[in-house]
Formats: sequence, C-alpha cells, structure tokens
Amino acid sequence: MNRSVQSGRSAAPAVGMLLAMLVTSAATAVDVRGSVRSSEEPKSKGIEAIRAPYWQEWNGFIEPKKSSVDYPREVSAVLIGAAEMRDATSIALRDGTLLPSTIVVQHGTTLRIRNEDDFGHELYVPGLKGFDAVETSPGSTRTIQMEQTGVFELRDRLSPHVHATLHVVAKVTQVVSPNADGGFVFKDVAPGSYVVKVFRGRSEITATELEVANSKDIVLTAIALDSGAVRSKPGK
Amino acid sequence: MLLSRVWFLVLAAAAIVGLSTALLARGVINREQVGFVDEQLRRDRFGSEMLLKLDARARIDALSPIAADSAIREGVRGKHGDGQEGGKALRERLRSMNQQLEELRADILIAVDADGVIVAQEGRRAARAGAGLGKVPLVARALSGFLGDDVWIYDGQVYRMAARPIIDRGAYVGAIVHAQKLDAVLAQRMSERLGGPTVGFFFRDKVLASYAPTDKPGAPTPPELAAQLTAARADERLKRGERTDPLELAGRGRVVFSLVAGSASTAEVGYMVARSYTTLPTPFAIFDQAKKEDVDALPKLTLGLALLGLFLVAMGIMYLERDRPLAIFRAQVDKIAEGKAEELELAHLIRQHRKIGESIHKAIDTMVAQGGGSRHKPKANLDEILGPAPDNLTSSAFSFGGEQSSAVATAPQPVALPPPTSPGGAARMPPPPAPAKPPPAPLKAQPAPNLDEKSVALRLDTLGSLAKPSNGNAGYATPDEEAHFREVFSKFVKLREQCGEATSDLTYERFLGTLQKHRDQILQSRPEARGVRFTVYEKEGRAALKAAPRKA
Repeated sequence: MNRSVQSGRSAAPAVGMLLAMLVTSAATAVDVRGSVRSSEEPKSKGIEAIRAPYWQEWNGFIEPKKSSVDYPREVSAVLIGAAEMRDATSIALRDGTLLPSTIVVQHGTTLRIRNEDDFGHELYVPGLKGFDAVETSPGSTRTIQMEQTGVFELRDRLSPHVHATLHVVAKVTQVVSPNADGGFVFKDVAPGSYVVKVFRGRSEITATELEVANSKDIVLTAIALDSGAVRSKPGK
Repeated sequence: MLLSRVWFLVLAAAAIVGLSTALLARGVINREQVGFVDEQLRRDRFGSEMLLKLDARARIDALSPIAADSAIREGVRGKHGDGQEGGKALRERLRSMNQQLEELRADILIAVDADGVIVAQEGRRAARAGAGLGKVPLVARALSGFLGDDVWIYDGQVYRMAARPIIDRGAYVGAIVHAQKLDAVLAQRMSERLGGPTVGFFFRDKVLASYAPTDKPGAPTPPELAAQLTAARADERLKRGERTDPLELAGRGRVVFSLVAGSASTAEVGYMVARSYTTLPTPFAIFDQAKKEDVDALPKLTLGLALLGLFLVAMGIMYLERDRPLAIFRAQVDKIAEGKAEELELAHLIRQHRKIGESIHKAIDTMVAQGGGSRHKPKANLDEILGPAPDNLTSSAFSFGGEQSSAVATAPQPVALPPPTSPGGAARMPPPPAPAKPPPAPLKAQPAPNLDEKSVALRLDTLGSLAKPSNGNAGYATPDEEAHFREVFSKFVKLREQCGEATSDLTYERFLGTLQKHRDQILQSRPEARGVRFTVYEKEGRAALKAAPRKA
C-alpha cells in the first residue's frame, strides 16, 4: 500500500500521524517513490558563449519544438539516513553533455565519469583539489576521490556548454535521478529516519524528513521545482 | 663682420630648424604609419567578422540540399546505426553530397536522428554505437527547428560548425551537422580578401593555422604573432569578447586579436590579424622611401633659386665684410710700400684691420727707433716749415726736417688745437706745442710734431683763421704779392717733389694763409718794411722757405 508523505512545514503533523499508522511489527526494506514537476516551460536557450554565434534562426517551415525540463539531467533526489553510501557514484558524458548535470556525492567516496561520447572531454572543477583538467577520451572512465565537502562547478575545457553542479555532502544513503516524467524511486530503503532532498543545479529544492517503519512502499507527494529552495521539517 | 656673424647665426638656426624638422617629421611619419596600420587593422577585424559571418551563412545554406535529400531523410528516419548496413548507405550518400559542396565541402558531415544520436558521419571513423550530440546546443537547437552556426573543439581540432534540421513528412526527424576546420585555407582566403594582412587562428597559447602573404615583403610571421598571444589572452577586452588593442610586433608590425563567435570563444579560440609597417630609422631614411613622383613633385626651380639666393647673400656679405676691407687695407699697405704714404689711414679701415694697422705702426716705430731714425717724414706743416714769425727779423729761413733752422725772431702765440676726432688718429695726437717764448735768434729747429694729416689740415685751418693781419695790409695780397706767393708755392711744391716729400696735402690756399700770417708778423715787427719776400731753398734734403722783409 502506498502512502504519500506531505512535504513542507505545514504538512508535518499529518505526515507523522500517517507514518505512525503504517508501522507494522515486521520491519522490512521498502521502496520510497517520489516525483518532481515543473509547471514552467523552460525558455529556449541559445548557445551560451562569450561571443554568440552569428546565426541562430528558425528554419521557416515548421514551428519549433517546445522544450521541456530535462528531469533526468537537471534533478537529483537524495535520501539521507543512517546508512552510508559506500559505492562510487557514476555519471556519464553522453549526447555531448554530462548526465546528470546535478551531481550529489558523499564525502570520501568516488565519482566515476564515463565518457560515452564520440569525442574527448577535459573536465575540471575549479577549487576542488585533485579535479584538474584532464582529457577523458571516448569510452574511458575518469575516477575522482571526493575529499572535500561543498558545492562546486564542474566544467569542460573543450566544450563550454558542458557544465554541472557537484554537491559533495557529508552523508548520503541513496542518490537517484528522476525519469523523463520526473518520477524517482529509492529502492530497498530500510526502516528508519531519513531526509529526502531534491537538488536542481546549485539549489536544494526541498528537504523532507521521512520515517520508514514498515514494509509498505512509500509515495512522497510531488515536489514542485518552481517553489524554490525550501527546506521542510515534516513530522513522522 | 657683424653681417657675417648674423649670417652664420641664421645658417646655424636654419640647420637646427632643418634637423629638428627632419627629426620631428620622422616621428610624425612613424606615428602616422602606426596610426594608419591601426586603422587598417580595425577595418580588417570588421572585415574578418563579415567574412566569417558570410562563411557561416554559406555553410548553413550549403546544407539545404543535403537536409532535403530524400535518401538522407529516409536514412535518418530509419535510425540506422552508423556502423550498420543502413548507416553505411547513408554514409555513402553523405560523402557523395559532400563532394558536391566543393569549396564548402565539410571535413566532417554528420547526420543525427531526432534524439541526437549519430546515424552516419562522413569524414571520420564510424561513431560508437549510441553516441550522440543531442545535448550539444547547436544540434539541440537544430533538432528543435533552428539552423545555426558555432565553433567547436572536436577531437582535438577546432571546427566551424553549421547545422540544419531535417524535416520529413512535417516533422523534425533529425539534423545535419557540418564541420570545417579552422585551417590555413580559411586564413589564406581571409588574407586575400582583406588585402594582404597576416591572418591566423589560435587556441589558447597555440597557433592553429595561419597565413602570411608571400607577395608582401616583411609581412608579420606566425611566430611573431604567437609571441603576443600571452599578452593578448591577458587583455580584458579579449576576455569580454572584444578585439584587443593593436599590439606591437617588434617595432615593425601591429596585430589585433579577437575571439571567434561561438562556443569555442569560451575556450579561448580566436583569430588574429597583423600588418606590417615601415618606419624611418633615421631622418635620412626618408630619401630611401621617396618615390620618383615625390622627387618629380619637388619645386626644383624654387629650391634652385633659394640656393642661389643664399649663395649670393653669403658672397655679398663676404665682399662687404672681408674682401673689400681687405682690398682697402692692401691698397694702403701698397701705398706705404710705394712711398706714397707714410702710414695707414686707420680711419678707413675696419676695426680688425685698424688694430693690425696700429700694430704695424708700432712695429715700424720700434724698428725705425732701433735704427736711430724716425718713421715720419716731416709733415706739410707750414708752421713748422715757416716757423714762428719773428718779431724783429730782417729775414728768416725755413726748412723741413728734425730741426728748424729758421731765424724767426718772434714765435706765434700757441694755438690750442681741438682734440682729434678721428678714432684712428687718437693715439697719434701730439701734445700742443709749448708756448714759445721769444727765443734768441736764430731759433733752433724743433722736432716736427707728430701730427697726422687730419690734424695738420686742422691746424693749418686754425692757423689760417687766426692769421689776421694787425695792420692795414693784413689779410690781403696785392697782385704783385699774389704772383709772388704763387711763384713761391709753385717752387715749393716742385722742390718738395724733388726731395721726395708728399705734396698731396699742400694746397695753395693754406700755403697762402700761412705766408700771409708770417708776412703780417714780419710787417708788424718791421713797420718800415714795404713787404716780405719768400725764398724757396733746399736744406738738408728737404724743401724750406726763407722770409725776408723788403726795405722801403
């Protein structure tokens, strides 16, 4: 049975009561589902550069495609609980850019970047020790140990459009990326207290406390990306 | 010599002005050259932008037939992998169509499906399975329906990119991506169309490609341009996407840098345009720079006349201040040498010659004194010749020479002479003769006063004016006396000439005045006398006169 969890300060008492009702005698791992959505249509961006290209114009035959939020690329959902994520975080250079562009990594773990593009990249993070501009050729993987917490900008020396935000946090249990529709799932979440955070770029969109107490999957209320960076403290 | 000095001052000033003008002109010309090159570079940058923009447009437009090709549309719609059979056919089609682009032929031509996955590509190896470009802004925009251009760093090379959407059955099914290297061919084309600058492309501190025109001697070389890359990259204007100010190339050229338009500008990809200029290392180098038409345009007649005029002015000044005074000086010296004059007429000499003349006079005096003689011959001083008229005299004798042997009984009253007015004669002004007391007759001859000619003339005039007869006969001469005086004068002159004495300063009027004065003095002292007769005779090699009263 799926139960939704209200996020936000006003919904905290109700969430706590609901979670208390869901507690069963046999505590097993469950899935926690959530979703993000954006009601705003992203503006069509041109090529960002110091000098814009000479020509960027509509073809004149068919209306341009409307762009949409690229949830898998732009958003990361993080579950923070008692358990720590020991595995390396893997991201990819694909379709000419970084996927995802919002990266959350636990301090002390490894970030693996696999270049699935057909050309090389030179990723670097200004201000992050050990993350200098080194070429990552097609098909190869670059591994960096995260020894410093904070929020960093990851860039590519060869392809200026390639950039991402790297959040190195003290503790992470799971990190997932939404699908194209904005839905995400934290699988096999053990009973306990958690905080669900959603990041988009440099922004921490929300922080929701979550108590996993029985074997029933949990469905979180949809998180609006347009509400801005709001930290919530719901009840159990 | 004043004119000469002024002339030399004028010439020196003219030379300084000329040299200053040449030096200033050199600086002005060099600065103008630099300014001209800077202006050219400003236009070159504008021209480069236009060329690159047109080049981008041409590449975008060149993709139209490829994007519209049915085989390519079908192939993209079918989503064949680049390495698959369908992908190979698509690749061949791309190659075939790319060949038709001729000058705009792509180095890499890529077809992507609606998701941005590479379906086929021409110009490089087959893409890895699933590799795509869908998130690259240029391709993403093309897949959304926009055509455009960009500059990429792709596979370690810098490419000018262009992309067009592929439309099939009313939908966007993919895109065509065109890539041409930023190479020396483009640099050469830009150089030729801009009129000969050196053009190059850079990626950070590395020159990617460049072209220096071979028909332009001294055109900046790519290494010279590369040497300025560090300075250019530090330029804040370049970082803002503007062109740099012109930078100096070893004093012989100027270069401007600009980032390319597109994504690669963020990665410091840009182009540079340089031109050389010629400066004048020295003012005289302007002669090497002058062309035949410059020489032809010179106002040669005016310059020739100016040269002639300056020469004539110099010659005139030389004549006035050197040649003519020297001629006068030489003529006077010649007179002395010929015995026609005893000394130089210092008043007629210029100051330098006058000093020399004074020195000559001193030298002669010294030499003559050492020889026991005197440089001066007796002057035509009739007072000295005649001596003071005796108060009581039956006859008096007069002679020339160092001693006056006349038997004048009475001496005339001393006459105060005015000071000499001639600057040249100042040193030679004798003291006025001491008042002569009635000496016992006969008087001893006195040394001839050392008077110059002007003083002599003055004294003669003075004496003449003072020689007023005190009796009724004073101041006149009877016809008989007149004839006698003329005869005496004639004989006196003749005898002087015979004695080699100067006669040019002896005039009858003065001679007459003096004779009358003596006559009057004698007549005063000898009232019974009817008149006075003068006799010319030679005494000690010099002409002398005797005066004798005629008895009644």
